[in-house]
Parts: sequence; C-alpha cells; structure tokens
Amino acid sequence: MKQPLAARIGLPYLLASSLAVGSMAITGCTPLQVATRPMPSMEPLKSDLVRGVSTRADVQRLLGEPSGNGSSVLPPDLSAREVWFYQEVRVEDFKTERAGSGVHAETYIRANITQRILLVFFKGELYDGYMWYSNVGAVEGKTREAAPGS
Amino acid sequence: MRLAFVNGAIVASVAAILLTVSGCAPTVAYGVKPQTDRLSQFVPGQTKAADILLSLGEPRGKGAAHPSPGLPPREIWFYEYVRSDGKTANLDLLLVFMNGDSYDGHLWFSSVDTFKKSYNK
Repeated sequence: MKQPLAARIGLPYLLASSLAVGSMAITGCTPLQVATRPMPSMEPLKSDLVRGVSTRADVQRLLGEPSGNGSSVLPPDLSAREVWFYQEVRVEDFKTERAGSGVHAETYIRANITQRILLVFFKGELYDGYMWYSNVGAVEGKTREAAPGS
Repeated sequence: MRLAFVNGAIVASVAAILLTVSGCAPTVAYGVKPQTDRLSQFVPGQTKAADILLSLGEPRGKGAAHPSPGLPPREIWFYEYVRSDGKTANLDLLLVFMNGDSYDGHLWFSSVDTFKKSYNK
C-alpha cells in the first residue's frame, strides 16, 4: 500500500507545514505543470568540453548560467574543486481528490515528476569533469482542512 | 553513492515544491542551512568527528561511499536545507566524508531554481 508522500520520504515536517496552512483551496489553484527552466544540452560534455583544457567561460558559454554552485574535496586525491549545479524539474499531471467532509476533509495530491541533475567540476579555472543523472517518478501528498478556530 | 544522497535531497525539495504550489501554500522549509564557510577549517586526516559536530552540528542523515577501489569505504554525513515558496526553491546540500573518526572530504552546493506554473485556461 502506498504511504503518503511525507511518510514515504521521511519528512513529517512537510506534512506538518501543509497542515498548518489551514484551509487551502487546492482544487481551484492546482496547476497543470510546474517547471524550472530546461536543462542545457549535454552534447558539449561529449564533444566540446575537454577536461583540463576548457575554461569556466567555455562551460558558461556552452551550458549557460548554473542555478547553483559549491565546492568539493573528495577522496582519493582530496583536491579542492568548484562545483556548478544545473537542475531541471518538471512536476505535471497534477491530480487532486477530496475525501471526507468538515474537519475530517482531506485532499490527496498526486503528480508526476521528472528531474535532471548535472554537476560540473572545476579544478582551478579549468573544467574537470561532470556527473549527471535523471529520474522519473510519481509523488503523492495529503492535506487536511483546519479545524474551525485552529 | 553520491547520487543517492544528492537525489534524495532533490526529491525532498520537489516534495516541498509540490506542497507549496499545489496547495497555494506559503513557504515550506526544513533542515538547517549548512555552515559551509566552516569547511575551510577542516583538514583531511586531522579534523575529528567531534570537531565537525561542534562546527556543523548533528547531521540529518548518514550513509557510506566507496569512492575508490584502493580505499576503504567512507562514512557520509548528510546536511541539507530546503525552502520553497511555490515560486522558487532554495536547496543547500552538504555531504561530509569521514574516514573512521577523521574528516576526509566534502561535497556541497547551494542553488536557487525558479518555477513557472501553467494552468488550464
């Protein structure tokens, strides 16, 4: 049996937060799709960017501006590297279903998620490799109407 | 191994987004923002677990990685902070690699993604 989203991913705070929202007019404002900007093409990683040769400017020109950055020091060589983070997320096929009434009313939310993640590594000023992956899955959650006066 | 941790955090951020956008809800946030500015104080092989706990606090989760065939597996300490207001999602993620009782590296990034919604007309 499928558990609610918050239980499945071990984030009870999420459910608690949604409960705290109170009366939510979910049916009236559920979007068709929620998405970030698209992921850049992966082709430059295969054909244009050369480890130890290409620069940050090359990466930015070919892949665009990252949505985040950071750093890494990873075994076995323990060299410091800068990390650029690219992400595409699409949440779509939203479905909501209301059950119960009054203070017992609950709304179930289901949606499909597509994610693509790319981390690009730099050693000094030079491109030093990448890691990417993608996944497709479904999520579901549940919200409750707040009790009157709560 | 790194993938599983990174992916777990991403799924969690998407879950937060789902709750905020689908419910027209206010901000959802969880976790504690990792103090990544303190990572520069850590020295591989010298900084101990107690020093990291003092500096970064308790991790939200733990795991393991086997980054090289020539090395024994490393323990991973997992820190994250996610905040979404239904329009943007901020993700701060930090993995700290431990070799026994000693610091042995890290991976962190911080991102801001803007979400665009489309509705039925």
